[in-house]
Amino acid sequence: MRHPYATIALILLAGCQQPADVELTPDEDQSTLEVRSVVVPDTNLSLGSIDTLAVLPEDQMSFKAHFLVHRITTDAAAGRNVLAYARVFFADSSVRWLGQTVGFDGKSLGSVVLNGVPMTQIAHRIPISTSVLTARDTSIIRGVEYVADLTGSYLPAKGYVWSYNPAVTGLPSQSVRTPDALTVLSPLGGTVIARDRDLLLRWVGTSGRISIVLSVFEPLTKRVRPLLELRPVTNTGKAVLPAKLLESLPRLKRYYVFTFILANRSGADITQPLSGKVLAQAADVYNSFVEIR
Amino acid sequence: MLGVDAIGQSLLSGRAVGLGAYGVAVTDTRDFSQNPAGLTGLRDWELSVATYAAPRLSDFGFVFHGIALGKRFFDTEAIAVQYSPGTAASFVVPPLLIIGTEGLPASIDREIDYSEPFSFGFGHRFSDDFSVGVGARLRRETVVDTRYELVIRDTVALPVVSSLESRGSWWGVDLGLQLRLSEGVRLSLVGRNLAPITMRALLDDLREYRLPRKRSVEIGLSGALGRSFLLAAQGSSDGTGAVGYEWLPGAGFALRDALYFDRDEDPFFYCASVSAGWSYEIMDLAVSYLLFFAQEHRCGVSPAGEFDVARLRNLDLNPYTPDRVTLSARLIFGNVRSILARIEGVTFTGGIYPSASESFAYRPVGSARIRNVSSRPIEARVSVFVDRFMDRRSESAPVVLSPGETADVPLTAVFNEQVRKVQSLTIKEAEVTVTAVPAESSDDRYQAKLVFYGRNAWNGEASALRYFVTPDDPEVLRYSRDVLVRSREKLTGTPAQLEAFRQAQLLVDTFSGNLSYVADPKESADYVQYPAETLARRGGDCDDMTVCFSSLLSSMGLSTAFVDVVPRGAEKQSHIYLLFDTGVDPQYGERISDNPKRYVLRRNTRGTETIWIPLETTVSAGGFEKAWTRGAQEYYDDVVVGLGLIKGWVRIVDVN
Repeated sequence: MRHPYATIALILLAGCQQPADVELTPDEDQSTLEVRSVVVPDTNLSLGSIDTLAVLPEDQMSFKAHFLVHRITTDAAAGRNVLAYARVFFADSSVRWLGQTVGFDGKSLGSVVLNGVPMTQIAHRIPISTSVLTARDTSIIRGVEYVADLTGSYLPAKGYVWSYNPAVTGLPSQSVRTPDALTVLSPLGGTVIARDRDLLLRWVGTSGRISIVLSVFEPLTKRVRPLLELRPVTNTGKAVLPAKLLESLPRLKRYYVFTFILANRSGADITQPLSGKVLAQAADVYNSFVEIR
Repeated sequence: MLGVDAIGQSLLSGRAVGLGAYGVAVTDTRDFSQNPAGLTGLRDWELSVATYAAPRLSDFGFVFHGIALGKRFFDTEAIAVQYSPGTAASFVVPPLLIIGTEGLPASIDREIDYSEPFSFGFGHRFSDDFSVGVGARLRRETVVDTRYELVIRDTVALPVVSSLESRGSWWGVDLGLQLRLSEGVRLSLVGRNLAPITMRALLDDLREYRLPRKRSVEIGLSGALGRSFLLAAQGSSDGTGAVGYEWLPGAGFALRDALYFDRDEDPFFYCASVSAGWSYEIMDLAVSYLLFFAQEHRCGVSPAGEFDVARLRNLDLNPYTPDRVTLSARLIFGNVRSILARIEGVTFTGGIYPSASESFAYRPVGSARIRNVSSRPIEARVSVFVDRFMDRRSESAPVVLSPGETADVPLTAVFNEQVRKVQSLTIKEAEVTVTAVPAESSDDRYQAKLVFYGRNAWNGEASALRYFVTPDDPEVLRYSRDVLVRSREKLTGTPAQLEAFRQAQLLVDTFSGNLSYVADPKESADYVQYPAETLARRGGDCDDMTVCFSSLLSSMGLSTAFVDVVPRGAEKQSHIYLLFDTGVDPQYGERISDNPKRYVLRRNTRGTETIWIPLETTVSAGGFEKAWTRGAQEYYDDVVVGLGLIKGWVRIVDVN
C-alpha cells in the first residue's frame, strides 16, 4: 500500500459512539405522576363517593373500620363551599339485597368520643335499587355509624384522637393528625380545559401524602365515577398532566372532577371485636369540577 | 431563553472549527456545505473524514462525524457528497407519568432525533475570480412518542401505553458564491434554505418538533496578509457569525483561532475555537477544540420547558452543543500535485528550417512566458514537443522563479530525421509544457502553431548553409573515394605536404567536368540542394555548388569555410564561395603559388595557421585552376581591397 499512514488515519477517525442525547428534564419543582387505575371491586356495593369520602373504593373494601377527619372543599363553576366532618364506621356482616351484597352492617362501638367530644351515632344507610331498572332509589338501614360536624372547628395540623366508652375489647384508640391546609391553584373549579394541552396541576400544601383522583362527573345524577389516581412521586406542589393523557379521556364525557387529597393516614390490624384492618385518615380534600373539551 | 438561532456553521473539520468564518475559506470537501462554491478548489479526487468527542460529557467517546468524497472534472466543475451520521441532535424527554401499580414507568415520554445524514454539493468556476455552488442537505426528524389510551370497563379504567414513531424529512437547498475582489481579498455569499423540499412531514400533532426552515443569508470576507496569514470574518442575517484567522508558519503546519458571536447569546462572543493542522504529501490532518464560555444547557441536560426547536437551525452548532474536540483528515487522490507554474504565452521566433534543425538543440525556436503561481520559490523547466518530428520532449534549462515572478524561458528542440523529409511548408502543433520542482509532470500545457519549412529551404544565412554540408552522406563519400581511387596514379610522387591540396585539385577537376551551373528553381536564398542531390542532378546554383564542394572536400578530411559576401546596399548581389584548408604551413606557400594573393592564411579549427585556398565554385566547370583564380580574385577584392571582413559585410563561416 502506497500510503499506509493515510489508512491508519482513516481507521483512527472511525469513532464508534453515538451522539450523546440531551435529556430534557421537567422543571425542578415539577413532580412525576404515578398513574393508577381506580378499581371498583363490586358495582353492586354501595360505597362512599370519592369526592366526599376521600377514600378509594378499594380501601373502602379493604379496611374493616374507617376513622376519618376530613375537610372537603368543593370548587365548581357555581361557587365554592367547604365542610368538615369526622366519621367512624365499623363494617360488620354483609348486607344482601335481591341476592347481591350491597353493603355492610355498621357495628355499634358504644359511644365514640373524638377529642373528648362524643360523636353522633346515626343509622347506617345503604342505598339500594328496588328494581333492576332503576337507580338506587331507596335506602335500607343496617347498623350504625358515627359522625361529627367539624366545619367550624377543623384545623390543619391538629391531632384527633378517638376513644370508646365503654372501651371496646381489642380496639385501641385511634389517633391521626390533620395535614397542612390544602389549597388548589390549578385547575380551579369551573375551568374549561383543552384536551390537547398539558394541564398544570398546582397546589399549596406539601406536608402529607397527596393524591389526585380524576373522576367523571355526571351532572344529572351528580354521581362521580373515579377513573385514575394520580400520585405525585414527591409532593412539590406542582405536576403536569400531559395532554396525551387528557386526550385519552372519554370524549363523550365533558365534566370531570380533580379530587386533591392531602392526607395523613395510618392503618392497623385488629382481631377484636372483628378481624381486619383499621384505617385512620385525616385529609384536606379539594374537589375541582372542571370541563374538559 | 437561549438564543433563537445558531450560526450556520458546521463542525465537520478541524479547519472549519478553527477558522470559524469558513464560508469564504471553503476550498475542498471539508465542510463543503458551508459554501459549495468552494468545491471548485478541488484538485481531483478527495476524501475527508472527521470524528469528534465531547470531553465534558460523562460518556466521553469518539463519534464518527462524517465522510465526504469529492471530484473535480472538466477543470471548472466539482461535485461532492457527504455522509455525516454524526451531524445529529437527540433529545429525550423522561417519563412524566408512571403507569400501573407495579410502578414501572414508560421508558421515555418522547425521543426526538434530528440528523443531517446526506449532503450534496456542486460547484462551477466561471473564472479564477468567481465561483458559484449549489448544495442540498437532507434533514431528518424522528419523534418517538409515548401515547396513552384509557380503556374503561365497569369496574376499572385502564391506561394502556403504546409508542408511536413519526418521521419527517426534507431537503434544504443552499446557494453560494465565492468572489475574489483583489489579490488576497475574497468575498463569499451563501443563501440558506432557499427552497426547502419536503419529502415527508411529521404528524400534525408533533409539528412543534419540525426543524426550522427559516431562510438566511451569510456573508464572509477574507484577506490574506502575506503568504501565510489569513483573516476571515462572517456574519449571518440571523445575527450570528465568527471571526478567525489561519496562520501557516511553514513545514505544512497551520494554526487557527476563532471567536463566534450571536446577538442572542450571553456573552455576545459566546464561543472560541483553536485548531492545529498539518499537511504532508496527500494528507491533511487537523485537531480542534471548541470551547463555550457558558456551559448551561451544554452538559447533556436541559429544562424541557425551555426546549425550542427554532434554536436548532444547525445541528452541529446549537445551544445544546457541548465543548467538542474534533479530529479530521483529508486525503487527496488522483492528480494530487499543486500547480506551481503556469504558461502565460508562447512565442516562436520563426519557422523551422529542416536543414538547420540540429541547430535548434542549442538555438531557441522561441520562448515561453512562465509565471510562478505558488507561494514558494520554484524551479521550472519548460519542454516542447512536436509529434512525429521529435522523439521526445526537449527540456529547457531550469529557471528559478520567486512567488509571482514571471520569466521568458527559451525553448530549444531536438528534432529527429523526419523533419528532413518535409517536402513543402507544413504546420504542426507544438506542445509546450512546464514542470516545476517538486513536480514530476506538467503543471500546464500550451499549444501553438509552429511552421516547418521544406527540407531544402534555407533562410539565407551562411551560418545555416553549413547544415546542408553532409560529408558523411554515402553518396558524397562514394563519389570522393571514387575520384581519389581513379586519380591514384596522379597523386604518386606528390609531397606529403601538398597531398591535401593535390587531392582537392583532382576532386574539383574531376567533378567540374560533370557539372554545370544552373539557376535556382526559386529565389536562391530559399532553396539549397543537398550534396547528394547536386551530384545526382549534376548541377546547381552557387549555394548548391558551394555546399556540394564543401561536402566533398570535407569527406576527404579537409576543413572548409564559406565566404559570405553581402555588399552593403546591394544585398541582392550577395554571394557565397568556398575556402578549403590545404593544411600547408605558410612557410611553404611558394609550393602552392608564388603569388601570395592567391591563397589565404588563417587558423584552422586546431588553432594552427595554414594556407587556405579560395574557390569560386560557380565557375568550377572550368576546372580547379579557374575556380581558384576567380575565388582568389574575389577574396582579394572583398577582403583585402574592400576590407569586407573589417567592415562586416564579409563573413567567413567555418563548416567543420
